[in-house]
Amino acid sequence: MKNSEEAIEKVLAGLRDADAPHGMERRILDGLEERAAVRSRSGWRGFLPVWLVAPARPVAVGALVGGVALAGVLAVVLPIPAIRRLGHAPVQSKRTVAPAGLPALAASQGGLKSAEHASMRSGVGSVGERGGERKEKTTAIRAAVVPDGDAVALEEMHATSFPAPPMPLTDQERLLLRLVHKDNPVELAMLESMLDSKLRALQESEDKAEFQRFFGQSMKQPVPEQTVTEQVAPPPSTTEQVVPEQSTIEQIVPAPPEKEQEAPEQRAPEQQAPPQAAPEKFVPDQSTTQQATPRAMRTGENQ
Amino acid sequence: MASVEGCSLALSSIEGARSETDLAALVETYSSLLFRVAHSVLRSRAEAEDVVQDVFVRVLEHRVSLPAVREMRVWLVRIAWNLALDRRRRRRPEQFDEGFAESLVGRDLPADEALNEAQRLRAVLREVERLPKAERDVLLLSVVEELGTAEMAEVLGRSESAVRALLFRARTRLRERLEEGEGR
Repeated sequence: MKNSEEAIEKVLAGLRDADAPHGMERRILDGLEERAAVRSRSGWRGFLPVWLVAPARPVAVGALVGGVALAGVLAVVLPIPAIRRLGHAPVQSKRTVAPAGLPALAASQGGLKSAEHASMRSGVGSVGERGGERKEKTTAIRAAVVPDGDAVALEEMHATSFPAPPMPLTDQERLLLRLVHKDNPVELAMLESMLDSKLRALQESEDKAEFQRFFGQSMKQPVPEQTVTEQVAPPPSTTEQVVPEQSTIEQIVPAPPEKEQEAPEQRAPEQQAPPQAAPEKFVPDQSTTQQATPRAMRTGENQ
Repeated sequence: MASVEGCSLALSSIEGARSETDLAALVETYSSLLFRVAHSVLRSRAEAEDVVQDVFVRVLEHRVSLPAVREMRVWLVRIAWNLALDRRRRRRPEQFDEGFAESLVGRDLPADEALNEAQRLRAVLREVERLPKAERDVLLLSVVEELGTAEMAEVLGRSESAVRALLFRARTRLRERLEEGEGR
């Protein structure tokens, strides 16, 4: 008990009686002077004049702070008119567009403007009335702004259409145009003559004659078939004059002539059978067969 | 204009001289107190002197705000206390305890008794370090005689009654632990 208490007291007394080393104050002061000298040489304050560093420092700091604050205010205030202009520009354009397309809307906007002007001009009224007017104004403005999009669309719809300008022609297209449209007076005269009916009929007859002349040689080959059909069929009418032409054309094109020449001998006994046995070959002759069957029925009826 | 500049220069020189004078006066007045505060925490004379130097460097850096300081002594002690605690975190004080304990042992004692005495004092310092932080801080700061309970409370940020209670508990706990150690 006693030993521990003594030991504690001895330690605390040793801590309490610790004296500062000799010359500590001088060393501390020397160190502080060195630091102050180094700071004055290397610090940014060394470059400033004395009047700015020590006595007039609050003034200089105040001026700096004021300048920074003024610059900030200017930076905020200056762009405001430009922003307002940007914000108002579309609304003005809408209001200018709308009256042309929609007279009713224009009238309503005109009324709104007149009401605004009237309210601005009057300037007399209670606060409650003004508040009510403001509310009405805001609602009217909202109602007018909402259909502005429709008005613009209608305006664009009713506007006169402007076709796109023709595309420039290429060199090849220009050459083709020169070939096709010569503006030759002979061509124009021929076109006028084509318009005349007599001349046109004459031209048609000439064309027919030329056609007959050209296809007359080929029409001689399918003659046997024509004879077979004509044995069953009645004498050709005016309509059937065209039919043989078709048959001859089709006989010339798909079927080889040798088989066609053999055909009358083989098919002669089968002529009484319906033409369905070879329908594809005799498609053009269906008119004749169809004409033949009703005639037989008629004969039966007659019998 | 020249007269104004001359006046301002004279004022600045006067101000500088005054500040230097103030700083020198502060060093002369408070350096030993600050040394004891730092030494109680670090138990090393060289380390304590460095702490005092750092304290006045801080004062030099914040000399503009010196007039705003109400109680210069408490303010300086708080700076020294915090700097010493920072330094103790980096350099453990146990390494200086042996030298400090040997310095406390009487030179006229025989070698074996001096050895036992040094061991006992080292045990006390070891138990001080094992105390709870609040109790240890109050105990170490109470070593400085110049500081009253109110100033200790202001430096530590506690109430005076709390400081007294902590000091009592610290001493009691330290004694009990030392007796337990002797009993083994």
